[in-house]
Amino acid sequence: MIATAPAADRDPSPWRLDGELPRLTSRKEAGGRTAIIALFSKRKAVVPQTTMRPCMDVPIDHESTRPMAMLEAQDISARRGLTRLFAGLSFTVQAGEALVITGANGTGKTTLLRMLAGLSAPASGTISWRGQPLQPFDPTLRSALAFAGHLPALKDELTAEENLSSLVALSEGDADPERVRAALDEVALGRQRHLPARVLSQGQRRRIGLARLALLNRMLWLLDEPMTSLDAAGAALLARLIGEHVGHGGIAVAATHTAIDLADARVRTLALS
Amino acid sequence: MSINWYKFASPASFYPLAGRLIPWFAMGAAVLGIVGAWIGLVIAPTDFQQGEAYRIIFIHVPAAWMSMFLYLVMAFWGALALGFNTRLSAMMAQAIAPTGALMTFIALCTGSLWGRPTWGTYWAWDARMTSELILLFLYLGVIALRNAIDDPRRADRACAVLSLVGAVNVPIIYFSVKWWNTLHQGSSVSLTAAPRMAAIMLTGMLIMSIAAWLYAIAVVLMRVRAIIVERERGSAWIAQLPELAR
Amino acid sequence: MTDARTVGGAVYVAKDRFGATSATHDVAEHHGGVLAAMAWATKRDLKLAIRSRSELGVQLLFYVIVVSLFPLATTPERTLLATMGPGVLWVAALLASLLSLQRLFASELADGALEQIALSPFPLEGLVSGKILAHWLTTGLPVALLAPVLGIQYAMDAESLIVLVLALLLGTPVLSLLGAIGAALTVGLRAGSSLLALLILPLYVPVLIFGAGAVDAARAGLGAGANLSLLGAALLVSAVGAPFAAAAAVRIALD
Repeated sequence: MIATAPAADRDPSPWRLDGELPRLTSRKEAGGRTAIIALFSKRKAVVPQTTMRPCMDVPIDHESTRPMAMLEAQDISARRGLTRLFAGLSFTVQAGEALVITGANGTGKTTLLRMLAGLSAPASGTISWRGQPLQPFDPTLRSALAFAGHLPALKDELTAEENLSSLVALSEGDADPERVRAALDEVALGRQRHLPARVLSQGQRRRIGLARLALLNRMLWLLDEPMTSLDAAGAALLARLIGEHVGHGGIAVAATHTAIDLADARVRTLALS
Repeated sequence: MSINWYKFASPASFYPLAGRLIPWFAMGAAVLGIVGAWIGLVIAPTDFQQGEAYRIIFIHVPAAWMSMFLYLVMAFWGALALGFNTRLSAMMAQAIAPTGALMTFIALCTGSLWGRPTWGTYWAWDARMTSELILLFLYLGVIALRNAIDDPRRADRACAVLSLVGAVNVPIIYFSVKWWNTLHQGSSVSLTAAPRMAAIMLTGMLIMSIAAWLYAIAVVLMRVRAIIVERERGSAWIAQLPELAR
Repeated sequence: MTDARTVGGAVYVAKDRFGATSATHDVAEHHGGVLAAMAWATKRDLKLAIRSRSELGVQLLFYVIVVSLFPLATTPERTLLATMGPGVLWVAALLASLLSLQRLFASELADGALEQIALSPFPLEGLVSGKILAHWLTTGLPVALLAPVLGIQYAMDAESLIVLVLALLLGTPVLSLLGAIGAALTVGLRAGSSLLALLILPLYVPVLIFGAGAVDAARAGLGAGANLSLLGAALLVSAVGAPFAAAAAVRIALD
């Protein structure tokens, strides 16, 4: 599943939070499929009063020990045709947490992720963001979200740099060329940035998606099978990006059937069966 | 007595209600149909200009009216399905489309048959007949779209959007076809220039129209019951229906 | 948009440029309306179209070939051709528009871009309008400009050709707008292009009637003003309404 080094083996992280993470209870739905929520890791830590985020450049104010539930699903269910994928599913994700959704093919991981993104509505139940229940395509969520779908949304005719600029401009209005180039360098595509996406390998196309995540200033990351086509270096890069994002207080929800090595991050697992 | 209408918005409660209503509408349609046919075929006098052949308007005109009316009703249920996200509204829209298409087809066939003895041709590009033809294409488009989409929810909403777009366009299409037809009036006279109506003929047409309306309601209710059973077949209450018990 | 959260937990308190507090990772300002969305979509689609120039050339060639087929099937006699000319040129424009509409949303769905477009903070109506504008610039506009050249094949005089170009310039955007609704409704479906034709062609009938009617009226000496005004009205109404319907259809397709 998810590999995390035991707390004792690592240096204390500067970003740690007070208090224990609450244990979530599992819900069984009679006659339906069961959702098993397992709390995979919990740890105690101390938090500094104010912190500056290097890339965000804003002060953070920690007020209490209980983290705020940013993303919450209450009793949601999904169907595909007549078959019920899951029912009675409830969970919350707080700021600074990563949620990994695991399960075999066909258990509804992608469906759940698309519901969280607001692309479709659950058959029953509510999904809330920052306490407000959501309708599909809710504008508040769209402004807070970075969705990495199953396909990397690249145009074959555009170069890597143009693709990245275009995608970032779609989300943020414009794209600073310097930052785009820097992001491509960071994902080891600096020399390939003038090549059309058609000639890039699958792994390289995925890296453009990683660069996009790093560039966008978004709190909620929803990642569908992010490990696809990534080699070891790419996987390490992904893990680092997610770890940094979560460490800075963001939320990452990933649906995957491959293990992601998220060391030093608050990670919870949701296994669909 | 205040009826809780919302209760019937669920397919499970609407199903038995529809079942109880169907015989009444069917009987009403049969009775009025016989009365209307009697008036149209026996009582109404022979027309001065067109002889006996005009009598087909007692089927043609009600069918044409119903075809246009049913499209609007279908668009209305589609709008409800989009606005309130209710399954039953979408099922009603799904049930209306084939009946509407049938009414349009009947109107086109009877209109064509009327043209032959009267004006010597099976098809003249008359404004109303051409609009009926385009209306048939609109109905067939909605039915084809529903068949092409596998997911029932997506099909509901896509067909609702399409029928609303069509409903907005139908007056525009009719107006443009009328414009086109009057410009090219030429030698052909309008096929649907009805004979000067004696009161008894109007009565007959009205009765036949109501009969057609009742028939359409009965058939749509029957079809929506079948659709409910098909689409809700995973539910517990379906399994307990007496008609499905072995 | 958001208030300063004092309900427990780690709260990001940041001041955006309007002085209100919002969470760090939220895009604090509403960074673009419909026009910005249109600009993004049109620029990108035009860039893509220019990079696949051959595809556009093929569509124009289709238009030319269809127009050339009709005299072969009927008669090269000049007066009959002059009567047929406007109608044939318009029907061929309709068919050429249909041919290219499939690619409006199909390629976006195939590579996952449609989800990104729908989840963008930009209004979806604006993005769809931008795509429609790019589609018209690459399909309708070339057809309208090419029509006079082909009209010579049909023995049409100069005045008829001018009216034809004007009518096509007003009418082909309507074809793109209405066609986008059909393309969004049928995106990703197996039956694809033929279903799109069945859905859209009835809606095209008024444009066809007024467009070809404009040239006929000019030739008959009645003046094309009425027809062209009606085409203009159709353009205004569909320019306002069609993006909403197409955006709704896109959201339905992504469900």
